[in-house]
Amino acid sequence: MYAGHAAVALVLKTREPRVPIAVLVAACFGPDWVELFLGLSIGRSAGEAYSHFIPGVLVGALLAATLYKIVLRLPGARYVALAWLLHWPADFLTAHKPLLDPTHIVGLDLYDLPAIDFTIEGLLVIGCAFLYARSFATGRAQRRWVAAMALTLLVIQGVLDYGLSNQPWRSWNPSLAQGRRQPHLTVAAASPARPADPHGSCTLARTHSASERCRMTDHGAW
Amino acid sequence: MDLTEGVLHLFGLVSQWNTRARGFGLLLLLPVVVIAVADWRVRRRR
Repeated sequence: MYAGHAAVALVLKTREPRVPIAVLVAACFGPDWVELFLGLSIGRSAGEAYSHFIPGVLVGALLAATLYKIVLRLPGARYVALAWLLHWPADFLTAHKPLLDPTHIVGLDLYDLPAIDFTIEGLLVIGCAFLYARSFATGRAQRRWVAAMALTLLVIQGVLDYGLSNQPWRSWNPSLAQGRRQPHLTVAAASPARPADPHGSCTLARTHSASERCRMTDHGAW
Repeated sequence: MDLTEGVLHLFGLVSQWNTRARGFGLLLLLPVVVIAVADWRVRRRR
């Protein structure tokens, strides 16, 4: 996610106005900053994995909040941590991100459906900008600045999604589980001598109907 | 060598500062700048 992360910072600002907005926005993109610098030192793939897997996000949030408290000595450190933590569920919508194991990635992969991604992030930007304006923009000139900010974020997001839509080699591939062969427990438990491979592919099916078709074609296995 | 390269040179990372890293860094900075400027303009008028 991109503009959506920035939008989250606007809402967090309404909850704790004493936290500088630049700190909140930076924290909302925290794991991406870590990915950038880790990628420079240990390689791009490793940088992405270790910056975005859940233990890494937790450690990053804790360190960011602690650093904020020590350096800036301002209230609201928990909102800095929250901004950092909210990065992962937002990225779950748009890409594939690791869970506890850096190699086990899951996500709805909406970057490969750019129109839907733009819609979701656009709605997030508009909604969060509205909440921000309700708290801080009481005059017309102020609301114009909020509108200009939201529009700028939408334009940048639009350019990114347009770029994504012009990559025809990409295909939508949402994933909620590890994509590897695994025999059904009934096959492995009932007939140990029987090879588990023939129906291992059923577990790779993305849709329940594919698994049902598999069951219908080989009654002996079931 | 720009300022960023100068800092990275200190950590021995300048060879990795390629176009992709620059682009990624710019993308991360953009929303910070956009929102910080807008927030400053909005809250200054309060």
